[in-house]
Amino acid sequence: MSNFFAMGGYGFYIWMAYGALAVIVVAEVVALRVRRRAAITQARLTEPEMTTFIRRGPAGSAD
Amino acid sequence: MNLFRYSSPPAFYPLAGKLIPWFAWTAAALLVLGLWIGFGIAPTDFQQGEAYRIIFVHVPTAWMSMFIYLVMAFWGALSLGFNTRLSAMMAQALAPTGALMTFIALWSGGLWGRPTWGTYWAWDARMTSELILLFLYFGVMALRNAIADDRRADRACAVLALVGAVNVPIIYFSVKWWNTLHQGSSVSLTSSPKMAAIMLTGMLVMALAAWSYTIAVTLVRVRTIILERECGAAWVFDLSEVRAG
Repeated sequence: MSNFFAMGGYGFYIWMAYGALAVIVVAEVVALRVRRRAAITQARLTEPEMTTFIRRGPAGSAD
Repeated sequence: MNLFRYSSPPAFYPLAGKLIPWFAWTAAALLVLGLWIGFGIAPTDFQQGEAYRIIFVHVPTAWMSMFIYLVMAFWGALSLGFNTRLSAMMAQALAPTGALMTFIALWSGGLWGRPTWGTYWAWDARMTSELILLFLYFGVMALRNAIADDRRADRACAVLALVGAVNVPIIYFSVKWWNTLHQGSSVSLTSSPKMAAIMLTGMLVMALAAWSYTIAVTLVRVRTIILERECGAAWVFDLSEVRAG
């Protein structure tokens, strides 16, 4: 088993590469879950109003 | 069936929701299979020893980094041309995953370069243009965050994505056009692969895993973006996940 992790002396390079892949995939999935939850909460708190359907003016103009 | 129906967020949102588990499970299965081939079956390389096994993460992520950028530019072009909201949201959803793929490609490339070339990094054409790709992804994301109005941000990001797309063929052909420390391609569309069949198989399986993963996370992200941007619309308020709890 330790032979497998040593990877013929290249273990450091190989596991740093695959470790970064694992960390990034997990981090992306977790971050997405957090962002989705936040979006759902925000959507729940935002009741649709009639004003939603009125077209907004150009950016910066007083609505 | 009219496919253009799905260019509308209320129609696309449930469709994407149905597709996500399929792509996610396909990605997981292909990842396990690819790692099993890469570490269990593929033999030690006669020149590089075990170090070559970085190929199974390096090449698929490098391919994805370039491909995602082109897809992002494609959706950006559609949003500019047809003024479709969902196209712009798709472009927005692709950028973070593209940046991560680019980072992993650079990171794993450095870790592969050190034992085989003697250096983590060189300013050769392949590596420099790939680093520029990372900065282009950062630029697109930063530009979006800098513009408060979503529709204006859509247009600005689409233009930047399209202009930056010129970098992708430069990355791809850099090893042909210039003398680079980075090797030329072992796999191309125009000639037979210059590597052992089992190593190639492992690499292609990992590439398919990267594809499925990218599609799955992009669909999750685009659904989240739809919720964020359509927040306050009646159809969003009526969604079961918004109603519940």
